Amino acid sequence: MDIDDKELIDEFISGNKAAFNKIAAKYQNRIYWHARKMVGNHEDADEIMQEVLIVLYKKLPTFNFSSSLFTWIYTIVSRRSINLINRRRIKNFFSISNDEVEVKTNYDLIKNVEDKEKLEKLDKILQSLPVKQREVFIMRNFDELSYEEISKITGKSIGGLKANYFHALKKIMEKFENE
Amino acid sequence: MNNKERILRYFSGLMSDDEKIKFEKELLDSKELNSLKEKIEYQLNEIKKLDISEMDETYFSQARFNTMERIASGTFPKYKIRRYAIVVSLIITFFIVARIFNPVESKEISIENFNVNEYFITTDEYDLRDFEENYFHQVDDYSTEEKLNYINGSSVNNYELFQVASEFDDIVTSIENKKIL
Repeated sequence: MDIDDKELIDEFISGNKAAFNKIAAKYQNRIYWHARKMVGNHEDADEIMQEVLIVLYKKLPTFNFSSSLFTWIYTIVSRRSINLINRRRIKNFFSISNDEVEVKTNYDLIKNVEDKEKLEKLDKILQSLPVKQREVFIMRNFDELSYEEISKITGKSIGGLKANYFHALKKIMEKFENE
Repeated sequence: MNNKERILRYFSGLMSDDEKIKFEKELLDSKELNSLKEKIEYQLNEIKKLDISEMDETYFSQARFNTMERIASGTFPKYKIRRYAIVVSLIITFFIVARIFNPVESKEISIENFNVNEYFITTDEYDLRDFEENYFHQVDDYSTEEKLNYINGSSVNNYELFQVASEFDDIVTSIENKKIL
């Protein structure tokens, strides 16, 4: 357990609301970007980030320190992201029109044109992967987590994660070759 | 398995220790394999470079502020409300469907299945007293149909009644003999 995290949690539990603000500020960026890469749009990522912070606020007093705060937060973000993707899939399935439910994309939050293009490219690549493969690919390459850490977060076996990562790599490389 | 797949297995950590050692040795010996590995590595790095992971800090501080406002106002994630709505809808749908396909049987006692003993076992004293207190005429003054309607609490088809009238007379007689009515 990160000493800073423990101190901040203890401060928050003892009634210091500013400590929560510090915890949120510390992890917010990672929460947002993990969700953003998973769901592929800003609006949903923003909603997930706020939901995760609300859960943190409510559940931190019951946090038992059996894992690191970071692992716990990632578990929540990961589940929320997958839940949202599944909900979107169900919406699309029951949608009356043949068109998929519109996924709002707002790249205006990123001022730099070059960055916008990069993000568009990245979204295109990541959204072409199935959810499980996408998740492990993001965690390995962008969150720089080990298989052990990913396994703790997702609750999946390391062998399964490796297989998912292999298929993700294979698909991405095929995509590169076809372009 | 082609070289590309072997490289991807290597990157994924799917190789056993022996396999890995053998593959790394091969990499040193084979220029072709090595260049393919470097190509894949390069492509992966290109994807990693697409990660900007930066955003205006004002957005994040605003998001924190919004979150705290939501906590203060008790606005919970929408999905919870939806989840409860789905559960309630399912329960209601279940009862509607159950009602349509398995309607509750009418409490009316059919003449054919009428059992005097059973009826009076399940009828409480209030009902009996009610009859005595509210019906001023002698029991014999009431027609069989009226008696049956009293028991069932509903009207009986005359045609149906006439068909089993004789049986019902017997039943009424037995009730009278028991001095219940």
